[in-house]
Amino acid sequence: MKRWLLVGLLALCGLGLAQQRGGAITIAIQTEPAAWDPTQVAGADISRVVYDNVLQGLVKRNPKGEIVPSLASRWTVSNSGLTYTFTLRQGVKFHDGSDFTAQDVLAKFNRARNPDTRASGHLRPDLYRDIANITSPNPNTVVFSLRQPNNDFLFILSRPESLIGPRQRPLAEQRVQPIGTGPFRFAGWERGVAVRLERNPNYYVQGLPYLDRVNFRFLGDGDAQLAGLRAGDLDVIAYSLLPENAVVLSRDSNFKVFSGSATAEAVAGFNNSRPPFNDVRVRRAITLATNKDELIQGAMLGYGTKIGSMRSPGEACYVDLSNFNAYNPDEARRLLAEAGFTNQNPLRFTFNLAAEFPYERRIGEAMVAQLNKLGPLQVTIQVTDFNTWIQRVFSQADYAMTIIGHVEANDIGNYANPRYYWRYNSPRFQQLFTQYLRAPNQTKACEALAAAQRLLAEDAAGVWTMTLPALGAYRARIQNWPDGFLTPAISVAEVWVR
Amino acid sequence: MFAYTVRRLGFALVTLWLATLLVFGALLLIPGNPAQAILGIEATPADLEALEARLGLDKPPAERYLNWLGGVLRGDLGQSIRYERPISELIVTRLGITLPIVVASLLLATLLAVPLGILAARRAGTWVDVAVSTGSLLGIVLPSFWVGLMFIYIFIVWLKLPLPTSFPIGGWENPERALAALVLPVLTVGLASASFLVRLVRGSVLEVLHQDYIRTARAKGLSERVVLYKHALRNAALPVVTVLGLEFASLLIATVVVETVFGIPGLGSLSLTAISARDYPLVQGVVLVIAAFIVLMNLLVDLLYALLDPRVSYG
Repeated sequence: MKRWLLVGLLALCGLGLAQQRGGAITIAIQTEPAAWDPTQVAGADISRVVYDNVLQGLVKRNPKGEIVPSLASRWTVSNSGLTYTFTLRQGVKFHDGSDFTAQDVLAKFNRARNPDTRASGHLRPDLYRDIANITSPNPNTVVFSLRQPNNDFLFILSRPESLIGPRQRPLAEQRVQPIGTGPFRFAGWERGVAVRLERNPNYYVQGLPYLDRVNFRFLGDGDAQLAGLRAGDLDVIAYSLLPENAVVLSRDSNFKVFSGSATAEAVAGFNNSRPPFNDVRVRRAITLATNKDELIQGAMLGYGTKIGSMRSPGEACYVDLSNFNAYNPDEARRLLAEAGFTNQNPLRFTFNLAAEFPYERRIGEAMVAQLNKLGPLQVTIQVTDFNTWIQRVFSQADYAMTIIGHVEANDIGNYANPRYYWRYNSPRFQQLFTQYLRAPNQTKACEALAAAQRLLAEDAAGVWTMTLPALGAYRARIQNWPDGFLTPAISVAEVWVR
Repeated sequence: MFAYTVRRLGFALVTLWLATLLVFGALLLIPGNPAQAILGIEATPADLEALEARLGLDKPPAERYLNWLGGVLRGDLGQSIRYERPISELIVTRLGITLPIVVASLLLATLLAVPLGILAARRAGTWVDVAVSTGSLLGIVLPSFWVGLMFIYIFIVWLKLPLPTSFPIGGWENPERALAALVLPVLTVGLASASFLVRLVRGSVLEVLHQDYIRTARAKGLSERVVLYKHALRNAALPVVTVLGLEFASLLIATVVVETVFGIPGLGSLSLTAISARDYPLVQGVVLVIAAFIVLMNLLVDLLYALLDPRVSYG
């Protein structure tokens, strides 16, 4: 009797959750990338569209941020940490009908690690520096031998740069119409309007994808996105939904608002190499004068997660430092006085903002207002377009303070690069980061990374205001929208519509 | 007349050339570069150099400009850096969306502004005149992006009219949807333009109505209709025609804002993309095309003047 009840219940649940196949959805993203092959061109929106939907790598990051099998069904790592052996999935075909083989993997990573980017057309060969050689002892195995252990190696293989296309495919064609092994094939790119994906009927996972077509529409204007969602022209606003619009939509049963922690830290960065921010007292004072809770509540209406170093909750080896150097205006004034700045002789500097990023811009403006309330600080805001920001702030480090979202996961290593725009040069940090990379096991790796996070916080190398929310909304007919945001993708393989 | 036209054309070409030179110079002055825009902030210097070489950006500016100019003289606007497509193809596609918006907006503006302006002038000082003036003032001061958004909310979200909120994917493949997507943008641009034109029409008609020859015509006992349509309006039309030509050009530029709000892939949004991506040849191409329109409009206005006003002669 009980058993029948259980079966009946299960059957009922099944009825409620029967995924329907077919249908089309339109998803709004903010910018139109220059091209669609992440091995040649960088940009968060490229990965959002093609990562795991069109192009796949040996491994992938799922929405929870875990590294899981993709074109490799399993892998082993030798005890020395020097040999990675991948077993490839069999019978996989690219969208053009050609077979995916070990040869495609070899060709891809030999191109990736070629230091001559002019010849290879591949971004970031530095990522693959530790690869000594790649071999394929048999058709379904690929072996990577490393020069030295690298704890980030699997993470690197899960990066968008590591996605694999057919080895014969001309790069120029792959840029505008990428061919991969994913659940959707790239059906077309209407310049200035949208990208269309269509179901890959030969996808190797049985029953996936559910949708026939997925359109990614480029709409930069938040209000236009909201109108489109309400009118039914859009089904999903994938990210960067304005907090006030999220509040409005969450009161309406026709829509679901989703908000989660992603990996984008809104970093109010210092130029650590120049006065006044080469003085740790001044950097600490700025941190102490920043009320992060107020920024999250005021500028972001509560959407956002407080952090205290260059890592987001949900990333491996995360240490909670969100209350380190917590808001303390008196202490901030004391430190500034010690460094020689008072109400009579205030510290004056310029805070650079990039116009295109609504979240960071608000947070930056609110933060400057907080700093100006302190007394011994006089901060002026300078807003430029992103391209100007890149050249002045990012390439030439010609700035005092700025704020930008660092979207990538696991990007704390940027502080180990003294040439990076923060110009943070700490031999101790570089040593800790190397320890992490070369650690013999995960425990040791996490110890080193934890120490690295603490050191950054003690050094007040930046003000890590918050992890920006993955904030979006979709129409109620959308089912099974991914509920984790720790992947580069807007993963639509398992999404279906009622 | 012929000599005059030739001389005017010569001037037009020089104007165009100066415009391209100015734009090219301005682009050199703004920081940022297209390779960085394409590769993003994680790019290494080596990545950037490789791409710059591939795009030919490593050549000195003067050489790049001359190459571009040589291409234009051969009728080739070159390749867009960002889109890796022929620029002429991009511009023609986008004009196919923007020109209908501009022409329809101008038509709407004229159809609204001319009768209302005449009405306001004839009833100067009455409540009709005040209403028209107030309405036009609103149309001038309200920013068009806000008006556009309000229209979306009023007509689509509230009244549930079956209009798209943005240009449909697939564009003209579905002509009805595509045309429907242009209704609100045309309304937004058209009303703003009408607000401006109506004041001009009113002022122009008022001025003419106070002229001596109108008084003479009235004294001759001609009916008010004949006075208005045969004598007054022909003269009042002159300044309006001039401004219509210039208005065409300013609408071409005004579409930038409206295309952003309504998600329309026209010439306006193309120029925004081009500038923010520092796609030098594309910016040059778009500016050249817009400048050509402006010059052409000016020429047409001057020639029309000759037809409308027998006192103007072209030696």
